[in-house]
Amino acid sequence: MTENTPESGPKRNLGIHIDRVSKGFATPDGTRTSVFENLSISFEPNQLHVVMGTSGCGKSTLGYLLAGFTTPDSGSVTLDSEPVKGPSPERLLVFQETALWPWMTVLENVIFGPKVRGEAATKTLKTTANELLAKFGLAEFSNRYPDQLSGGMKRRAEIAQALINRPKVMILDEPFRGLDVMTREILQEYYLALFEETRQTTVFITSELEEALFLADKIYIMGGQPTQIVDIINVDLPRPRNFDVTISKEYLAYKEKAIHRLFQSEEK
Amino acid sequence: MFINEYVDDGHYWLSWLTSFQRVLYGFLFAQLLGIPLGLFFGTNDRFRELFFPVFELLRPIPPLAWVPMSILFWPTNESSIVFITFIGAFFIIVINVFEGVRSIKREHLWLALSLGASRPAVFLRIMLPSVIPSIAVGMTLGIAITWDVVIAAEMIASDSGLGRLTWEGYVSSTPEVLVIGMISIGLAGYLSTKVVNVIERKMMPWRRIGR
Repeated sequence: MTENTPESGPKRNLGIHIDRVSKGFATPDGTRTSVFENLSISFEPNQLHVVMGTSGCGKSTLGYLLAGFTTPDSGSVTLDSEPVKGPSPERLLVFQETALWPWMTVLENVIFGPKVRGEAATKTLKTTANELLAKFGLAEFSNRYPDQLSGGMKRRAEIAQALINRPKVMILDEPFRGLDVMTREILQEYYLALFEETRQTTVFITSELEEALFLADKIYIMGGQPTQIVDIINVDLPRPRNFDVTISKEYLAYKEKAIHRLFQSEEK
Repeated sequence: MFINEYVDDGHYWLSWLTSFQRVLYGFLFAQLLGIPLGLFFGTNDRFRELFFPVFELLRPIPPLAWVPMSILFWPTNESSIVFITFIGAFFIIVINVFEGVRSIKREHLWLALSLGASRPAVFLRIMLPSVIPSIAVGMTLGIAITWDVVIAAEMIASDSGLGRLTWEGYVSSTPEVLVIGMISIGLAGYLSTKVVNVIERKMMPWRRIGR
């Protein structure tokens, strides 16, 4: 890491920087297990970063550290050189399992953020939210309750609920897990199109290689005990991408290379 | 016929009114005090550590065990019956609301906090609606128990109400009155549950629609 001082204006360290972070948990038998020790990662702005690892390796903990739901035992997490001190609308996380509030309609869920911060009149917010929902193919569902939506619709509503706040970073924690393959692929294309249009800085957590390769600019492979980044793969597949890319020679070459490296990292 | 004459009698309908009033007051006071107390237990660690043990000590005491003390300490017979009815529903409601607070999904709270909600906003817009289903469960259980308790209390410590009426049927060896009393109690409990169900559905519009 360079020794930039945070206040040095143009030299500001943009993006998210995890700097020598350690994080452990108390176990039921009274001991502590260490999830991360001296973990350092940098996520540059306007990139789609995919974090990959097996279940239980601490992927969600990483997401929670970025979102500010949990704090490191030591080390620091910064966004654009500002230390992450707690949850903030600048860093929004889409949860693994739906976190839409079931007692609010889709529209009420989506406008919650700007409304609770008093950013605009409810009427204006509703217009904005409805435009956003229409973009996500949910125009007719804005007055429904979340439990009336399918799994894929809920996911889209949640992404809209985050995006209306114009976060600096979107963190998605295995957002499409548990959906059927068709829905999953549609949502992947959806998010990809959105990213390619807005270049929304994204940290996308997954355990699926195909998903990672299809979406990512950069894949970070987590592994080891305590968890470290054991490998980084730059995915230079051309953008905009669509599902045709997954049968291209380049993609398959990446896949072969990635599988190879995943095996290596498993053995570490 | 006996039933017609009996039911036409003012005494019979007065018994209905009396019992209903007792259930209503006992139930309402139990909600009014029980819901905030359950919320306090769920949200304030200091308060819970201090008072929950006391609460847990009082909770296993059956409502009817409160009868003698309540007659001693409450100024009127009416207020002591209402108090016993209140006791019947109170503990159940507190426990349900408390459990409701504890089972709020942390993701629901985290999401609100990350979207910039203040603590009062989180309480009003996330925590409170989260516990509404638990409040509803407390209401359903509470209304059934208040009827249990009011009838028993009337039999042992009151000279009015449907419980007393049924008891009179036994004492005066008129089985007809006894049967009328029992059926009336069943009907009263059924009607109360229906009313509570309607209120619950109004409280949870998001649950009304089929999935």
